[in-house]
Amino acid sequence: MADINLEKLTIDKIQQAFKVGDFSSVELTRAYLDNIKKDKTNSFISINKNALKEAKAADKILSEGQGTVLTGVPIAVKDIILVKGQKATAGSKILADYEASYTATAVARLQEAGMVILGKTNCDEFAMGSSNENSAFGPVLNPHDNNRVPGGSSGGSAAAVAANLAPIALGTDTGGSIRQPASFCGIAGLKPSYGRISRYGSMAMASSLDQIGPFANSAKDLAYILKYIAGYDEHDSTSSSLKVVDYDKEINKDAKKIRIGIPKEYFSDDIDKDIKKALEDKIDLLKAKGFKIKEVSLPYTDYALAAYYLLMPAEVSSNLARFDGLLYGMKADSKMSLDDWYKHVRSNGFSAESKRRIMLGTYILSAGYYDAYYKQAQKVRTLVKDDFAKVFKQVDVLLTPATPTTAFALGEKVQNPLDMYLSDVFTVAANIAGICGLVLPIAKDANGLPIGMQLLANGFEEEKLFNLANYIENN
Amino acid sequence: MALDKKEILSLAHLAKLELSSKEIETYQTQLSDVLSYVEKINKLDLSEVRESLSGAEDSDLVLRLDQVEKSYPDIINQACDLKDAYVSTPQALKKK
Repeated sequence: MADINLEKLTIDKIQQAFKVGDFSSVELTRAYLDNIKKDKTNSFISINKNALKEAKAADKILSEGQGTVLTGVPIAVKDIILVKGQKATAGSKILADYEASYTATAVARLQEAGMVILGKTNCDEFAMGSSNENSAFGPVLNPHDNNRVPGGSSGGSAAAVAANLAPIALGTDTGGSIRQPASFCGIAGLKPSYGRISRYGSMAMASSLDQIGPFANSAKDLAYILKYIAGYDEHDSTSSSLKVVDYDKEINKDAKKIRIGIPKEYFSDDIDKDIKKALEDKIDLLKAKGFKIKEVSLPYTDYALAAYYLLMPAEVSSNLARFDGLLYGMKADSKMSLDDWYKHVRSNGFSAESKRRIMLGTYILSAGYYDAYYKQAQKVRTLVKDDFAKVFKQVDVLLTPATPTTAFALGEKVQNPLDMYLSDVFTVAANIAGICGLVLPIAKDANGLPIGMQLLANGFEEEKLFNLANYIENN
Repeated sequence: MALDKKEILSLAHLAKLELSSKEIETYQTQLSDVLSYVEKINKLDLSEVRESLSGAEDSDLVLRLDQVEKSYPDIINQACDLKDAYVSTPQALKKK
């Protein structure tokens, strides 16, 4: 069997290898499965027992000269996204034995294109967390330093790509859950515009903020994946019917036509000096290459995080009400009264973080506080959206740090939820405003930990993100 | 913004959660911390601002047709107590 170098594999490299016969999809899939068996990061919760069968079918299609650019390429899927017949725990004890009865649209489209599913990745319970420490299946370790967190909530998906356990992974991003772990793990990640991808089959955390998105080793791979999973789906009324762009072709346009904005509110002294320096170096480089770069202002940035921690828990408390042990998941003693049954299942099934957010959301939505909190937060949402709308009249893409720090230590923020929440400060605004964001690795800090840069563009302008990110990767 | 024990218990009841005395104490502090932080939005004058439900309400979102389709019994296959296509639940009301 071919000895395959899995280090930072991209879709183009994989297809080239298939073409010249360096390895087959079955051989590649087996190599990843072997790596997953030896994995020390706890990235996976379950393995797809049909992976090799799917790879064999892909090889047959490829041998007939058919298929797509994704045929035979393996992928890992966050365990909050449903794949029929496979476990879907959402990182929770309450769904420890739950098996999905249908497949998420995004996954179905990738399967249709010939991708091979390796398995389901670890995550913070119901996608709630910034460190992947809220998983009932144990924390995920950062592949760059096993004493540090990989970020969250899609920590398993990010670590899987960074540790060469999969070339591509799907995650979800409600307030930064793709971009922050991509930054901590030193890989590329995309939060698409709200409505670009169907949320059907992704367990809802905060329905007005959630989006599915990919992790990969290059911006071009993110573009390939988006092209296949984007587009209207009759099962999700919030999915947009706007035309899906040939993102992989647009990526080669002249990037220098993109006007770049630097939002001054994202460059305070609160961010790590290594991160600030890395960003400034990149900005200087782009200026030297002839890019038009100007400073801009998003005055309501400071309020976006506060609005997020009102809107999100409110939606969480409603969405997580469905986990009552009656239709699926953890059960209780049938001799109990219905009220005791609910309380038993929910108290034993949910983690501390889920309970915290459910309680917070219940408070925010309760009589007397709804007007003071929830309605006010919805108004702040308008201000944040207006901020971006104004800025995107002057520039095409905003360039910001992805996180205020690099990966922090395991256990460091567990006792202080507010401190943990503040680590989302640069990512939440994109979810509030429904715009798209991409993170790519640009440097390492003094401890050798990856530093990520975030690019933000207006809704449904992902092609600009790919175009600029691809330029930065290659220059 | 401090929450007292009674408020925490009332929230837990609404959310169908049973909390240990340690959890009650922890949530009193932690929820109060978060609420003090988010309180900052009330410094803004928002009287003239309209509310926004999602990031995408100005785009072309459409509802699917309201038509009868077959149900998907697969979805209830993992229910706690399944009798044919019916899910039986624990008793909701007490007998007199």
